[in-house]
Amino acid sequence: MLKIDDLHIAVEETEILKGLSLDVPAGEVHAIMGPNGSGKSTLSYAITGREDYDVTGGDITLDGESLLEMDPNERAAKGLFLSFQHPLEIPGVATMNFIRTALNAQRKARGEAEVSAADFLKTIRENAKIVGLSDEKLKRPFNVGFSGGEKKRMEMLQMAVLEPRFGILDETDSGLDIDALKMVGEVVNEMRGGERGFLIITHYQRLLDYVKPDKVHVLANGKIVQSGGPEIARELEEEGYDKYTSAA
Amino acid sequence: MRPDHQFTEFEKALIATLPGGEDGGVFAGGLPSRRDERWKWTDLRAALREPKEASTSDIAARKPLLSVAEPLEFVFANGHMAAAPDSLPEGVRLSKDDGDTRVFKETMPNLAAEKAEHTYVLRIDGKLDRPIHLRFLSEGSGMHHTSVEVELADGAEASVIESLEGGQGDWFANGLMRFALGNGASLERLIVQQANESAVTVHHAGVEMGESASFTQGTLGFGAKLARIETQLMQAGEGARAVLSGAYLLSGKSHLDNTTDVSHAVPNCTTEELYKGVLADKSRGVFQGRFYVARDAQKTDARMAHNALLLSDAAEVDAKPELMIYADDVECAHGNTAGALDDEAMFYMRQRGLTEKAARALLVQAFVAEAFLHVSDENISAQLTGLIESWLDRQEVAS
Repeated sequence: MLKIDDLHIAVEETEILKGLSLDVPAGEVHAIMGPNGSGKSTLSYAITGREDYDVTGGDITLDGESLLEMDPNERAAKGLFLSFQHPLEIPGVATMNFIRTALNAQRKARGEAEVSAADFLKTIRENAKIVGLSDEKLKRPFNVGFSGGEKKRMEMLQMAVLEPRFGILDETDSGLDIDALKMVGEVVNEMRGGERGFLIITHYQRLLDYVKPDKVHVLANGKIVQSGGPEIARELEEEGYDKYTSAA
Repeated sequence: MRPDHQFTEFEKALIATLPGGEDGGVFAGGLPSRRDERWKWTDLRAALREPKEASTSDIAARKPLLSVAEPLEFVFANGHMAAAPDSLPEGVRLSKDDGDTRVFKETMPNLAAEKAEHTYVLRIDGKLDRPIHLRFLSEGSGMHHTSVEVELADGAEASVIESLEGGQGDWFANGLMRFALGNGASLERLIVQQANESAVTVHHAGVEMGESASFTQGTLGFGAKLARIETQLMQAGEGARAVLSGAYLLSGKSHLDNTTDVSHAVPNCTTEELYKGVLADKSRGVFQGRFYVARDAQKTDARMAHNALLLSDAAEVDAKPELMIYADDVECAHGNTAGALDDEAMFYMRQRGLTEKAARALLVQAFVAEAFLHVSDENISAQLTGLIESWLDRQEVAS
């Protein structure tokens, strides 16, 4: 499904990813763990197509199709979703209108019919309940006055409504309390399986208590330095990243 | 006449039509130009060099810029009042006042009062529940002037919409508005301006507010070759409250100058001012805002903000906020910013699937929306949004 092959990324001429390869087959959940500054967020931005992340080598493909020449919105329409590490407040933009515009823009790009206002309302209300956002919050301008945790809930709400084929969670667990972590787990577990893949980027192991990954990769110094089962996460929790960072 | 002033052909031709002979009368100083501090970014003299005939009132019918429900509609076709309501509701009177016109410190309003076919005066008593819609239609290649006065009796309430609807041609329109608000009177004013890139338009308003009067002004402007919307407001009665807000969206080589000048002459008045500008292509926006607070005007609360969003490197915005405060117990503030669209917000929205154009449109809408929070009529508010949307639709994304 999502395949990254020998990816090199430079930001302002500094190489951040130095030949990263990764393969997440359809239906699997992979976790990427790594110390701060290892290139985790760079990876999520590179996959979703943020400007200023120069691909100096390698390729990223979704179902065999290279993403590199696609605009961020084209990648979104292909089914890529990024749960941002630091979701923004967008004053003046009505939340419901924004999410519906996004959903219909994706559907339009895929040649699908737009979702009616009534159907959309029903879907977003149902999902808002699951992620724990009140109607009042949905009526506010996008994320304005939200706590850090509420912003993460808003990310999960969008993921549930947009139903991406591949979800990337960039440190979604940071700053979350146990209840919110459980909620993230619930949303991902509900959505995982079938043809859908997930990449969970995290510093800590704790989210992985709620979402059992099929594979765990360790990212250090711009490369995947180890891959294996969930046991790697527990090992890191106990031993930290020292052995990877000192080796690099 | 200024000793060093060489009249242009435009000025000479205009003077020939004015009483007062060769010294120019009300026009002795000629057109304001960049040599005048208050016009340094809006050089009217340079924009109008060639002589202009008076416009004819012959004008093509067109769809109004705003569709107003149950308006008291007055149509000015190239300066000539071409349509007015058959009858006016109780409490509203229309008359003509063609008395002495040299009452302003500045040339353009004096010229408008002098050259307009009449100064039309609307007197309003009581609460008027239908909006007054003044449609100023311009087209062709001549020049024309209008002068309208709106007087609100003590405790009166009204709303006035001025649509500056520009048609084809390099016309020049010079409009004067005067508003007098009695004690406790309340007026909501909205100005919508649209013109082509050859036209020149100046729209000046003088507002005088009585005790505890309330004045709320909104402006949506799209510019012209040279355009200036000026509001001079005098808070002459204690406890008066004014809101001045507006947005401008400029593209191509359009220019628009929003100039406001608020004098607080007595204690306990408030002024809240917010302008938002969006500038694309090679457009040029000007914002001049001045607060004057007299020595006796204690407890004045006056805030001014102007924020510009530059969508192009070639666009320019010139801003001059000015506070002149002679009282010592006041709260006055001003803020002025200019910047580009937030890259992070753009990426965020595009990651969710919005095209660059759609993301930009949503952010621009959000940016300007704040300037119209005071528009009380939802139908009008929706139409303003519609005008902004169609402006956005016409913009190319240069990336």
